[in-house]
Amino acid sequence: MNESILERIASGDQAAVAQCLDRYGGLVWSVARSWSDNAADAEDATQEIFIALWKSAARYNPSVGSEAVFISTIARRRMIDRLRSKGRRPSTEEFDESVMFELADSAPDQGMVAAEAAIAVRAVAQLEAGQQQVLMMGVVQGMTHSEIATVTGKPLGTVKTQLRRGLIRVRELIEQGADSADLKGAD
Amino acid sequence: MTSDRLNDLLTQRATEAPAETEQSELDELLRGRPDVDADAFDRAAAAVHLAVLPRGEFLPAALRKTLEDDAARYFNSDPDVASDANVVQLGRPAPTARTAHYWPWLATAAALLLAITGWWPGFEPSTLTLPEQRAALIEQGASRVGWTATDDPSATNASGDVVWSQNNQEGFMLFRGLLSNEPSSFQYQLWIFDADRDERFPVDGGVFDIQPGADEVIIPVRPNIPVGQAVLFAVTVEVPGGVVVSDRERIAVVAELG
Repeated sequence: MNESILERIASGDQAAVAQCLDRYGGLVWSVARSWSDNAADAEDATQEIFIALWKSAARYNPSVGSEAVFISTIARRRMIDRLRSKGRRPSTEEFDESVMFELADSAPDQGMVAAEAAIAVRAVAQLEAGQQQVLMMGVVQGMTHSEIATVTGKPLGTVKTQLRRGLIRVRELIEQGADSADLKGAD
Repeated sequence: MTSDRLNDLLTQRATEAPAETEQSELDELLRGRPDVDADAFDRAAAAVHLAVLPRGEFLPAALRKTLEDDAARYFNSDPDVASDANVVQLGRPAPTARTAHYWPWLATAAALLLAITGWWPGFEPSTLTLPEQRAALIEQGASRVGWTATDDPSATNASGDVVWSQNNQEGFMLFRGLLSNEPSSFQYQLWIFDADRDERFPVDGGVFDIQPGADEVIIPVRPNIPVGQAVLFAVTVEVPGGVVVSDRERIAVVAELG
């Protein structure tokens, strides 16, 4: 079995860096832009994320998820820390009770992105509209639980519960999907 | 079975940074539960996020070059690049509590730029004035459409136009007669409706102010997320700082691209 890009990076193969940027650069840039106030901030964040990724590459375990999800996890964690340290909210878009997830198109070489994303969409689609809205705000918008409670008028405890249950459902479906389809590795 | 409290804290970590005390509690709970997959919630959140990311994003060429340079320095053990500041904690808790080393100068610089420009810094520094930048964008073939004022009191005498370059992902709003605002009282907020997105989710273009006494005001438009195909620009009147969700009760002006 061929080594994944991250496994090659972890072993010090610098040639894999370019491949990583080719395949996942747009993904990281997209996450950074969506949670940054401006382009300069997004560029700094992207730099931080990739340095963190080089450092964390050795922790990638292809048996529990794809590279895309691992890299997204790194990117999200970094952005969440940045948002908290700056004490500000991320980008804002408008939502209503009928918000539904739609699968974004993926680039041709991002098949694994599409696979796990499709599972996530299926999982979210099973949630009731209010839960979907909360999940969208908490996961995609980067809003804090308190902000979600304020915007939706729901009790903070309800927001936390809906987020927890939503993520558990997504996790369960991804695990089931991993049993029936190969989500492991990106090469 | 994983406790609800542990799941709550893992959910919190996957969606917002826990406070110090909660992080400590999470670390302690995880130490007592070696069977728990500590990153499962993060992966679920990442999968959901992946599902809604905009399509066809590519790194800007200059940024890509910077990232390649960063990587070269990292792999050559440059201490500035290889500092612990960039370690993302995954998996089991570290023996000691997390210590965040952020780049405080970034926040300072961003705040300074915001104070100077009153708006977001551009993708690239420009020595041109705003009218010159706007004229240059028009010369490059950017779309240009006039504002349509609503009956909102702020827009009684409002006119002007919006210039938008899809390729550059930037533009300029020009206003004449839009009511000046006291920022501590209310602010204007731009929303960009994107044909590639659900119309319920316009892109937040940020807040801006109209200074009193100005005959003509030009405001740069540089959205913080990609706009696939801008079809409508709308300016609403909002509370200071802008809003997460606009009730659209006070729409000042709109401009529909043909």
